[in-house]
Amino acid sequence: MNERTLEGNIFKAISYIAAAITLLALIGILGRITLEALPSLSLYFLITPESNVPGLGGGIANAIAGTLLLSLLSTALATPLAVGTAVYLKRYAKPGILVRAFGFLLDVLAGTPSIVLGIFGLLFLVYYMKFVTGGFSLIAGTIALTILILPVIERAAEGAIDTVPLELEEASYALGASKWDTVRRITVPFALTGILTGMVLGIGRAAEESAVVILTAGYTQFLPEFKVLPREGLIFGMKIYPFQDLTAALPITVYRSFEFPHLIPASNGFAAAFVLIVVVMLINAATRMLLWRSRIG
Amino acid sequence: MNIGTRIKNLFAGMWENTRAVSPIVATLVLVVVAITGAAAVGTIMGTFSSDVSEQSNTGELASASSTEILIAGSTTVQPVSELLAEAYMDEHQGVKITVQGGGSGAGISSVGLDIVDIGAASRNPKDPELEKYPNIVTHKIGGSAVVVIAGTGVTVVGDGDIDSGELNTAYEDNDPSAITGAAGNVSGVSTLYDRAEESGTEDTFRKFLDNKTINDGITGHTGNAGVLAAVQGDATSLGFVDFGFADGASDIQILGILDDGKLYPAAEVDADHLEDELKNEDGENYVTALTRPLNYITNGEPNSMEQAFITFAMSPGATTHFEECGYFAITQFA
Repeated sequence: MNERTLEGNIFKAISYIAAAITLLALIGILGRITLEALPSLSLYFLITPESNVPGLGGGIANAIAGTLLLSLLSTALATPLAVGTAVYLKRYAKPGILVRAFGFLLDVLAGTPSIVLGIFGLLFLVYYMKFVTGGFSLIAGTIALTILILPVIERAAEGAIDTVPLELEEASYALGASKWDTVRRITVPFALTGILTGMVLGIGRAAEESAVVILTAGYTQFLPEFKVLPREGLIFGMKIYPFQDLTAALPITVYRSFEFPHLIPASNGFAAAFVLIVVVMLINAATRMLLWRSRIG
Repeated sequence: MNIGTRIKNLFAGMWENTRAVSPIVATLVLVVVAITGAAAVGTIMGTFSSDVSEQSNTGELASASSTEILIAGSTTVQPVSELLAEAYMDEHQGVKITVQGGGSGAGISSVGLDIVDIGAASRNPKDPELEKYPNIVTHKIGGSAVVVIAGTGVTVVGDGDIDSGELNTAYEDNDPSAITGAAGNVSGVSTLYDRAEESGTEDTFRKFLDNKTINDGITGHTGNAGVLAAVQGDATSLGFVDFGFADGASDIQILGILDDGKLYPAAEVDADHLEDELKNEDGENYVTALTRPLNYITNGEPNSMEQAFITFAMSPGATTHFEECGYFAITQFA
């Protein structure tokens, strides 16, 4: 065996080992969480809010509903902004110092620790804008999470737009399509797979986030309610549920079981973690199924 | 292509390419839609009527918004707040009380900023806080005590008492070797733990130390649970937590304390002695400086709803909820 073959085989072996370690770690973590969660995993635990169970813990329906609302709403809010920004930067803006500066700022935003965005959310959305957001609320949490995941989706969308073959767009122009027609019918559909990946990453990031959520959406033992009640001090003199009401989230539920080990069984926390993983997987799968058929290329 | 043509094209498919549907299939679809619709309407109406009846029961239809209370702050007070809220809501239909953590400092500043209704703190407000938020009013609802704990790998002989001077030296200089026991009966401490965040528990412990200083180099953990878990996971470590968290916890031992010549042996650091100390504050049963209040704090005088809940928390009926968490209700010692 010559030196080059040997070298190749060594690095092939290293790659196999790295993949095996990653897979084993993943299986180990998921397996352990599942095993530890089993004592608490029941239909009652999943569909009952904490407010309906005596004592602390005992139900996570409030947290499941909160996580779904927060992650879906923030992704729905962030995606048009992110895709719009990416299309502007890649197809409309003329390359120059301003575009580069904008890209740099987006990178800074992407790298900003979530606790910083959480504090910003607490001061600006919860305190100064309390008359609009209602203080700790779903709307405050959604806006803060939107800012958090916007760069994730935007960068993915930019990368996806880069993969669109210029020949396709030129053919579109040659057929008399306008720039908007080309962006709408060629660029975005072709880049949809990449945009979708960004959305999935965004949903995952929003669902797993705890620092931003606790500082903006707070926590509640109750399920989200859908109603409008009069409330002094809020805009229009009314409180719109669930948007201006507190919202729970699964990561906070996981943390609470650690915070009060003498009052909440550890299996409650593991069960919440297990459900969080399942919820993120289901949202990912549903998003892919919904948008997959719109792609081209 | 103009807009009119586009709209026409959009709806063209509705009447072009249509095919007849089997009457049986159409009927089945209609039946399914009707059943689903009826079920949905029934559920909505049921929820609506129960909501209305709940609110009618409270007799506060005029101001439904005033039936919500948000409590946030001390992680020590949080579990008892949740139990109190639950019991109060059981007795008062239509009232909604939500409880969050954050720490004593966060509780005081949140209520001062008026972003929560009641702040919770396991200490009294400090002077700078009172200067910043001059309107805050403190309501003492209970009491608790901070205890010193060690991992199971720490050797303890006899009463297992440590001198307050040793603790002072150890925590001021981050020097675990200073922990030797008042009579040389404690050994093997290699790590000290502190709280990571501003907390009433740490504040009480710091004030107990002679120089009231904790070295920044000591590893901090979040919440009583964080310090407890750290000591449980490190057999040769020492830390401090609220008695409610230490009582009955596995893989730790509560240490006795020798303070100003008075011995409080480990065997007597229990609920009975702590309750007596909170009652008498004479240093006969436990170190007075290590006991602390559990407070609710409001921005100005509480409104009627807040006052009703605070009164409930201070009532004899609330005692069981404090005991469940390892704390002491105000009625037990005041």
